[in-house]
Amino acid sequence: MKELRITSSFNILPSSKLWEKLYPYNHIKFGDYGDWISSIFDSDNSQLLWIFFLEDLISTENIPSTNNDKIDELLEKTLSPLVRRLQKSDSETLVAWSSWRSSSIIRLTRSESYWGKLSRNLESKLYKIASEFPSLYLIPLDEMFFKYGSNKCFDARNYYASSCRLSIYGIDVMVDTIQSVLYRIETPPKKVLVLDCDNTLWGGVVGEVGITGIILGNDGIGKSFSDFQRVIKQLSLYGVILTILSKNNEFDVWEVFQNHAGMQINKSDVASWEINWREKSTNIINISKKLNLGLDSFVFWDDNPLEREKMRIALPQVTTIDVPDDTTCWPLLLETLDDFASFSLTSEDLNKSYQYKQYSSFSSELQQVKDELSFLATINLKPVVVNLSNSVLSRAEQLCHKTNQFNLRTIRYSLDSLNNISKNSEYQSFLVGLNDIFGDHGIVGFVIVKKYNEVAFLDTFLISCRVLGRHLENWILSKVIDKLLNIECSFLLAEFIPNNRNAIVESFLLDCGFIPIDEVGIHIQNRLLNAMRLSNKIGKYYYIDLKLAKIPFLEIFKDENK
Amino acid sequence: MKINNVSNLLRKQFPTAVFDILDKSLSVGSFPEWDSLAHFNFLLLVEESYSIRFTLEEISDMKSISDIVETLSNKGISI
Repeated sequence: MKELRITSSFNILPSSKLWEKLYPYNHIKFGDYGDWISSIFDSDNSQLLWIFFLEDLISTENIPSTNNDKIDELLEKTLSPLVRRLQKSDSETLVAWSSWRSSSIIRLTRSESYWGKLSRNLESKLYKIASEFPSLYLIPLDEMFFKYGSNKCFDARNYYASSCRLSIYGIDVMVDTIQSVLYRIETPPKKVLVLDCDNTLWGGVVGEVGITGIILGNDGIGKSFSDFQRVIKQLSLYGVILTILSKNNEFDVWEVFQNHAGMQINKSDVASWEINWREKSTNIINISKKLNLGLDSFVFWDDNPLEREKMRIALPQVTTIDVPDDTTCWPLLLETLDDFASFSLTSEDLNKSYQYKQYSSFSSELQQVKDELSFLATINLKPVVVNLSNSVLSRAEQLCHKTNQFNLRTIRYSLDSLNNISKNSEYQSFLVGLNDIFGDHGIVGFVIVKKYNEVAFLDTFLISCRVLGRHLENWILSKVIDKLLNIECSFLLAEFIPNNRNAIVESFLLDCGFIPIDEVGIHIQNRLLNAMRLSNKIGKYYYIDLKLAKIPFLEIFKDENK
Repeated sequence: MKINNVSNLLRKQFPTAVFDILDKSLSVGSFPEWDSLAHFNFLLLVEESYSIRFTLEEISDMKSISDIVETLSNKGISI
């Protein structure tokens, strides 16, 4: 089973049971929402599904003040990690996105909306990339959200409660859509359409009412049967094999085919038939033998629920479509049926992609990215220190309570405690805001350090998950170190208290050169722990010598000090 | 002591977590699996089970089993 990494720009409720529908096809590994940049960069060996809302990527505050070229550049930059992955990896990449934003209909009466232009621009860029890379599968979710009702799929309350853009219903629609694409990647489309005649290709029973009595063509319900046949004809042009399975006198059926003006399909379109009074399951086996095609590539379409049920029981490997009684729905139903749909890759497409890999022509030089760091260096990461003042206390409290992943000790401070900390000179505390080309992320980081003479204790160190993967933690740590050196500290002590999700923090500490205190001499251990008068240890302790500290990745930031 | 339905839903949401189903003081963070993300999923499960919809305020205020039972009873659902 292949591994499928799923990364998203919003909370897609990974622990919801709805996602279990994908489990039979893939070994699913969810990333944290917001970390799509790093997920795209480090999933070269697995399948990747990137789900995003355009609104999450392109901050609306840029619009419409920003000019077209800027937006174009921004879109290209946003897609550049995707293009890099496609150049490097042959594993399938699925991109599912929604870019719909509702607008006043009055505003749309005389001019195109800015957002509409943006979303069409995105779409054409994505399809251009897809035409060059056969391993890319695009899933325009809005198609499905419209079909099932955007008001039912989108959910503003869920967004403000938990950064989830969709309702449970919307998640369900999304998972089903993704499932059908994954299924098609693994399973080839069906090849044979098996059709009944009476009340399927035309209205009425030809054996009773004769060729002049059947309902077909012109207007009303007859037109819906003609349209249904047009869709069938279209499918046969795409290569679907048409067959007929009808309980009838063969002569009556062919008379309609040859002499009824409303018929859209000809006898010559039909590859094989069994028109007699035998059981349909017996007949379909005969057709399968004649065509030399397995029953699992057959789709059975019949208006009679009894025939359908008999087929389902006798031959479950045949796909029996549960067609609605209302035949006017049939043309659209058949047209949108996934069973016959293929990704339509021609050998020419494949060839094109080979050329692309050699000459690589998609992006301008500016958009070429070699790796994650060089990409991050181009997105104008501008962090800023925000002092812990009254106006931001509640944001600090919220971060303490809501952050689980990148959170060193997961201490849930109350507003009162934070107020005291902000006034106590033994503490150094600050918040961190972040801005990049994707917009203003607001206040996303929070640090509290307590000074004990030469030792400083990292009491709180957390970053909101929506900006993970940008190495912001490195920048924050470097700011902490600068501040501590100014007030004559020598060591920074960090206590890592594991919760269910914060393993990422421990590896960060090690990457930055923190040393587990159990691994150093008892002399320095005592020096560190005695300074804090620490008696009982809960978590794992790490320390760093501030004068020797060298924090990596700081070169990607464009903060005020540069 | 009777197990209330909200506690049963909690078990459904966290089938493998270790907790005392009779403990009505259970709240977000009582066991590691019950973090804020999972909590939101849990509230959606409660909504679905009772065919109701919470407001954003109600969602922000409900942290424990007893909070949820109280909010449900304010909506006329007795547990």
